[in-house]
Amino acid sequence: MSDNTNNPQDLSSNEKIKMSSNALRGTIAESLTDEITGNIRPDDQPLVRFHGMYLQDDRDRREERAAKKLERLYSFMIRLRLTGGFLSGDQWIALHHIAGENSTGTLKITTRQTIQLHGVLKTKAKPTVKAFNKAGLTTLATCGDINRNVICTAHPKQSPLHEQIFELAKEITAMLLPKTHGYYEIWLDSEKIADTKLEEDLLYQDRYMPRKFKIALAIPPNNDIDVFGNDLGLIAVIEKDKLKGFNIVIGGGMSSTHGNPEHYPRLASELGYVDVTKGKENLLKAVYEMLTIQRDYGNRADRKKARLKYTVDKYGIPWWKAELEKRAGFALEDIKPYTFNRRKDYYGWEQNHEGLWYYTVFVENGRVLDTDSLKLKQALLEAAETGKVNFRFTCNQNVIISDIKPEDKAQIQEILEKYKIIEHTNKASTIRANAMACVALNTCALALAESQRYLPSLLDKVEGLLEKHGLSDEEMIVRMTGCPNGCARPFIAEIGFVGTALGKYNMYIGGDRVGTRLNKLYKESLEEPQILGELDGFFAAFAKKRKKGQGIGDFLHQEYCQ
Amino acid sequence: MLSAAKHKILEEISASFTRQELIWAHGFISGALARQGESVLQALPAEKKLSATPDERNNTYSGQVISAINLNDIGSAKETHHIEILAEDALYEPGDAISFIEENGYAGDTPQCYLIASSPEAHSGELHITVPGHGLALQEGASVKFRIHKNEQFRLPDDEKDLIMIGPGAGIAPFRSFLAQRDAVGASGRNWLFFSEQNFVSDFLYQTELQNWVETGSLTKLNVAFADDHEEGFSLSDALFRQGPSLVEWLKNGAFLYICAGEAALAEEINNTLATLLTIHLRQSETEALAYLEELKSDGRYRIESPASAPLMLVA
Ligand code: HEM
Ligand code: SF4
Repeated sequence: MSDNTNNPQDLSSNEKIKMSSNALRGTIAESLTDEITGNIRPDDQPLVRFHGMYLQDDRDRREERAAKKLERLYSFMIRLRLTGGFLSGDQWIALHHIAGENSTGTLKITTRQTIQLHGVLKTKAKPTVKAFNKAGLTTLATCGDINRNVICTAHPKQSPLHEQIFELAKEITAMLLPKTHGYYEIWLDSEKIADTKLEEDLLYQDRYMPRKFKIALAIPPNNDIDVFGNDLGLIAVIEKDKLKGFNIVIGGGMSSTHGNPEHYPRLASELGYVDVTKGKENLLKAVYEMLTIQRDYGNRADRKKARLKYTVDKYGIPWWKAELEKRAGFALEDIKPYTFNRRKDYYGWEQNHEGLWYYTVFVENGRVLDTDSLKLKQALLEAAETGKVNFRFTCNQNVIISDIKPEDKAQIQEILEKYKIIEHTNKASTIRANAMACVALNTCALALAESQRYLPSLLDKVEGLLEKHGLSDEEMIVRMTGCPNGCARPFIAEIGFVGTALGKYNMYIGGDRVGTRLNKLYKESLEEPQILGELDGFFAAFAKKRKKGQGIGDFLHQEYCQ
Repeated sequence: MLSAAKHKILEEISASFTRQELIWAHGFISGALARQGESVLQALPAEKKLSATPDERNNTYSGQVISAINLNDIGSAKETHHIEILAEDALYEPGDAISFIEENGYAGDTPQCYLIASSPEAHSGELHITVPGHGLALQEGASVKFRIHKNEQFRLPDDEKDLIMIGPGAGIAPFRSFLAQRDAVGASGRNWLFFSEQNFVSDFLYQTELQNWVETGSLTKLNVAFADDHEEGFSLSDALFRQGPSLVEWLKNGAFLYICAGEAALAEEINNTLATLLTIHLRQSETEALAYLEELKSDGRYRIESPASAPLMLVA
């Protein structure tokens, strides 16, 4: 069924590991009981990702520990599955304590609406997963070559249909979970499965996906989830407060390699429209078969070319449409008109159509922790302990304290005031409130430069420039990553920085405000003074020459990218 | 004055250990007592006072410290210094000890004797020691004078013999020497090391070296116990218990069993654990088990050491 890129002899080593993994078990259990190392066996490294973990080491400590005859300081990053970014108040309380006991203590809100913990030692991995499970939380399939966390426009005020679309996202999640029982055996001490037929996986077979697979559901006009940055995007079409259907876009993905034109960021392309007025079955079928096509046709020889975006570019949109229609058994309609007009979060208090209240807190780089100046983690714990709130995470790495009844609002307001959360959120400059940075050093093994540890101080200086040019209230989307994998989606920022070496960044400009145009590489390997010099020039020109209502991304695109 | 408990330990040790072991045990306790202003000489029964041999006294060398690192990582409550001394002409065997001759004051208030952690075969021209705490202030580049103390009672068994080594904390020192030596000469006997400390991340002394020996097969088994890893705590005895059947099997097959523990009480606890394991896995009575261990001792297959202790000549 699949083509010749997938000759058995050409398969990448990861493919062989998956196929011989005994439904993703590998030797993870043995790796966990090896008491003389915090590491796990090499062949278990790709497998443990399917269980929601990434093995990392503290790069700041490598040299010194080697001199002390100590191995690298290995630990796991553990990522939760939170469809649509939702977490109940009780779950937040559990998470708060699990993070404190088993990890660095910092809760990291990711760019895809979930939470991950860093610094979980191997001996703490199992207790962590067990504690999550007790709180009704799972880490299954949150990393690895499989459908990841399904994201969905975060704020319930976006539409009265938010709940309905969020429920759909949960159904998609459930449909695309792997069938392996290994997760429960390894982490939760479940009995070994008696009949392996019970875990037969018709969707993933024994190969899983060629690469990660990311799905996003957007409720226009907000593109807060960056729908075009996903492998599969579903854009809700709503008429007169009724959900009509979804436009399907495919082939988005950020990851690239410096200097390699074969490996590039790509925005998703329009494929067609699916009606849901007579039921959601066709939509679910289309989503499911999208995965089977990519499963069968995706590149399994070269992992750098294994994302859906390359399969889309190889076969073309008409072929994809035909193949999907053949497999799903119905025809796609033409794309319906849609508009996006923003990508940012609704900071502060907002109300949904039912009158429930929501407070969106600004969280710099998604790091929830207590510092001397701000006790954010404590404040959120106290809010959770009232028993009157839920939490929703946004793709801009913020948290929405959610679903507060009008009569409870004052109590939550009091907590937010006591911990100066309101002051903190209001104080964040416009540029900072919309900026994102990836993890990078010291935990990410792929980082070429700093990112989340550096962006805040760069922004301090950029704020000065904006003030100088009278642009302090100007909305702009600035994103930084430590390498071209693009975890913070820098290629769809209005101004993006991508690390090339310590202290050096490629500068990308000219993405649009709402995330429908990639930016372009403007200059390579700039250091801070050069970055600030370039920005100074941009801001001066922008302040003088911009058209009315024109955003900086569009301006830079027009002036410098033609 | 000695507490009743300490008296008891001394008496028990005196009763059951060989002459050389006794010297070491006294040395250990003298170090501990000296810090408290008590004299070990008062504590010891007169007839057990022992002196070093003339050989040991005159066996002096000079060398240069080429490396001094704290093996414990940041965040640890402990310090354990790995010190490498360049001393081309120093003659020693695995199991020997050194003491520094106080000239520059680096040896601290209570001069100590340290079991050597290096192997003449593997670390030619060098001599390494593993120093717990911060009593010995040696900087890289420092010139040192030291004596080598022969320690015939604590030697590697023949190459083909299996060896179980129990070295908590700095007690790992002589076993690093043994393992390096056996690895360098390609000894065929199997090696099994038990190590324990407080924290896996910061206190796993010589971790990467041990991992390499496991990888190459020089170290057949390595079991560890880190108290911080388990909510309920996890001790060396727990690790021994977990390996009980295998341990007893090794012993039955003629393995040698060496303990090097900084605290006499710990050596005592290990001894009791071993006796319990024998009662469980060999269905021996307690008396039989203790007798079995005694027999191992008199056969020279069971030895106990302390990694650092007051030098022998102080006891003279
Ligand atoms: C710290 C360790 C991390 C490593 C080693 C890592 C690795 C990667 C790699 C290799 C890619 C490119 C994959 C591909 O396109 O197939 C990628 C993309 C991405 N990662 Fe990460 N990542 C890390 C952390 C994170 C975090 C903390 C987040 C969220 C806050 C995140 C979110 C993303 C996103 C959104 C992308 C863009 C994917 C796309 O192309 O659509 N990653 N990451
Ligand atoms: S973008 Fe690169 S440096 Fe940043 S977290 Fe992702 S892989 Fe690491």
